[in-house]
Order: sequence, then C-alpha cells, then structure tokens
Amino acid sequence: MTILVVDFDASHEALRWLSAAEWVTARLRSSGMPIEFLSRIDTVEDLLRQSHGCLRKILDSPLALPPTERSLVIIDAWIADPKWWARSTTRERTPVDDVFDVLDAPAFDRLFDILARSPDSDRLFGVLFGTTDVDALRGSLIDATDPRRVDPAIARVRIELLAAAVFDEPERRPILTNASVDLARLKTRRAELRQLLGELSAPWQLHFTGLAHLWGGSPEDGIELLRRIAANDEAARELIAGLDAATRRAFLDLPTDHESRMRRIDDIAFSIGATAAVFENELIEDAERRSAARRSALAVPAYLPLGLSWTASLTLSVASGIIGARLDEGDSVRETARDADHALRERLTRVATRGVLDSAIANHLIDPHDDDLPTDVRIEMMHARDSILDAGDKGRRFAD
Amino acid sequence: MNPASTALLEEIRHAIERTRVLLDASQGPAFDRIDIDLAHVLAIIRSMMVSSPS
Repeated sequence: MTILVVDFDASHEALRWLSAAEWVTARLRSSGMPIEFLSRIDTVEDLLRQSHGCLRKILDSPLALPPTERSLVIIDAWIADPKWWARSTTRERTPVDDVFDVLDAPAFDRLFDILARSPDSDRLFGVLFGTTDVDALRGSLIDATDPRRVDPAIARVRIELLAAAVFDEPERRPILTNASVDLARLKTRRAELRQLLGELSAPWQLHFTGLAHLWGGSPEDGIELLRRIAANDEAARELIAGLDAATRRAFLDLPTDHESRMRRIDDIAFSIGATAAVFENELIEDAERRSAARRSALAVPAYLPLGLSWTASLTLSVASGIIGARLDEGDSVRETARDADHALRERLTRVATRGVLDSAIANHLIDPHDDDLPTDVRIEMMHARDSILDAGDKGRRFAD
Repeated sequence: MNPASTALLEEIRHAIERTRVLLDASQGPAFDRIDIDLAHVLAIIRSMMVSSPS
C-alpha cells in the first residue's frame, strides 16, 4: 500500500507560494530578459504548472482528507454496502482496516467524538465488526480510554458507546439471506470484543459504582453495565486482573483535604464492595452453570476446577472449594465465594493503605522531617482498611 | 541581466525554496515528484542568475 502523508496546513501554504512563483515567472518575460533565456522560462513555467496541478490534485482528493474525515469516508462507504457485515466475516482484509493505518491517537479521539455525536448510526458498529485487524482495533481503543490520557467523562461516554455497540450487535445486524457468513469468525469476533470491553473497563471499574460521580455517571447504570461486561469470562478475568491497579490509582488520586479524603475513601470502599459482589455473583453463576453441565461428563471431581474460567485470577484452591462445595452442598457455594471475596478485599486493603500513604506524600501532607505520621493520615489509612473490609458491605448490598 | 530580472529570479528562488520546506513534512510518490520538479526549477533559476548575460 502506498503511504500518503499530508501536512495540510503546510501544503496549502506551499500552494500559495507556488502560485506566487508562477505569477513572478510570468512577469519575467516582460522584464527585459535576454532572449536566450526564454526557453528556460518556458521550462520553469511548465514545471511550476505541473507541480501546482499535482499539489492541487492531492489536496482535493478524498485520499488526502485529514485522517479523521478520511476514515469517515472509508467507514461510510463500507457500511453503505448492505452486505458489509457478512463480508467482514469472510474477507481477509476490509477497507475499514485502512482506518487504523491512517489514524494516530489524537485523530482516533476525533473520530470517537464524531461517533459519539451520532450514537444511532452504524459507524461505530461498522468499525468494531467491519475490521479484520483486531490488534489495531484493540490498540486504538486502549489509547482512546487510557486513564493516563483521557478525561474520565470522555472515557465513560466511549466505554458506554462501545458496550452498546457490542451488546446490541445481534439486534442491529442486518438479516441477510443471500450473503455467506463465516459463523466461526463471527463467534470469535464477539468473544474478542467482549474481552476487549473488559480490558478497557478494567482501569475504570471503580468508576462504575462508588466513583461514578467522578466520570459523570450513575452507580445504578454503572453496576448494570459492569454486570453485563463481567458476564463474559474473559472480560471478568481482565477486570479482576486490573482491580489492584484501579484501586491503587483511585487512592493515589485522593483529594488534599482530610474531610474530602475520608469521603473519597468511603466511595472507593463502596466501589470495591460492589465490584467484588459482581465478581462473586458471576463466580457463583459460572460455577453453577459449569457444575451442572459437567457433573455427568466428568468422572473425577478434581478435574472440575480446570473448567473454571476464574482460576487464573482467583486462587485455584478457592475455586476448587467452590466447586467442591457446589457438588457436596449447594448452599455453601455462596459462603465459599464470600471467603474468596474476603481474601480479595484483604489484599486490596494493603493496596489501599499504601495508596493513602503515597497520596499523602505526593500531596505534601507528611512532613519528611517528622518520624511520626500525621494523625489525619493515620486515621485515613485505618479508615481505608476498615472501610474496604467492612463498609464495603454497603457496596455489596447495593450490587446484590 | 538587468536588475529587475535578477530581482524577479531571486523572488522565484525564494518562493520555490519556501515551497520545498513546507512540503518537506508530507510524504508519498506525488510529493517526491513535486520535489524533483522544484529542484529542477531551482537549478534553472540559479543557472540563469550565475550566467547573467548582458
């Protein structure tokens, strides 16, 4: 593929300089130039005319539109084909793949902003299900929701848009009777997108509930969405894997005054409680589903944990305990899962207290020359620990 | 060459050099072609300026 990189502002200015050169060349003829130079002036005029025409053609071409606008032209052209959706599953490469060749992160941000203004259009749907380059899609979406570069309110809009597009796919997909669809690839794409949704949501998972006000959302909508995202095993794995980092980031981002810090700690604990409850409920449902399906298929109960999708994230022993409990005493599944949740929260208290301390240092709340921690900071650290272990139950009740 | 023509040649030379600098950030075969043509123009302009027959 030929790469065309156009600096638009510079090229338009270059066109003006080129026009000026042509105009001055025309004046040369009447400036008393020696006659033997006239053929050279002809050549100069020809070359300038050609260059001008070529540059004008580039700047007028759809291929030379700014990257975001060019991407929209590509996407719109692709989804205008009624069979685009089916063709996306059967082709090795689609025009939508080119979008990722021309868009850097800021240009992809602009594209997302345009997509956000028309949520009912099929454009985002066309990007997610129209490309065959999942790695490029993943990279662009991770950049577009990266907490290090994206405002929380914008991240929420983007994650909600993506979730809507992914979850609505079966309803929005056109029913085609005469186009061949590769069902295996469709299934793979759905799985990839659901996992990606978990990966994108992982750094923001505490914002779905207790920290919802920080990104302009509501905890009620947030918990529903989180539950939907976590219903996919791979997505849940991504969320659990990102919980420590999300917790640490939330504590590092504590406000500066004591009262606000204490309130924020309550919000974070609430989030952790709600998020852990979502995981726990999914774990129980997952165990129940798999246990019921495999009880008759597997002769040796010890093999059952290998079927659990959660084992990579939670401890194998806990998962084994859940399955064992499910097989022996169905009622104890919840109890065992709550033990796993308690262990998770124990771990997070360590992340939290360290985060409070680091945040206090960063906010100059600790005198480096004083060996004793300030009382406020000590209270905050204890409050973080206690609220994650205990007050997080409010979040659990909310999630339940 | 009379001073008026020399001044015009200088003006063209400056415009072309400025154009090439502005197009430097853009890439692709079409831009390569333009750059070659403009280099050719500059060579002609310079040759006229140095030969300067009276």
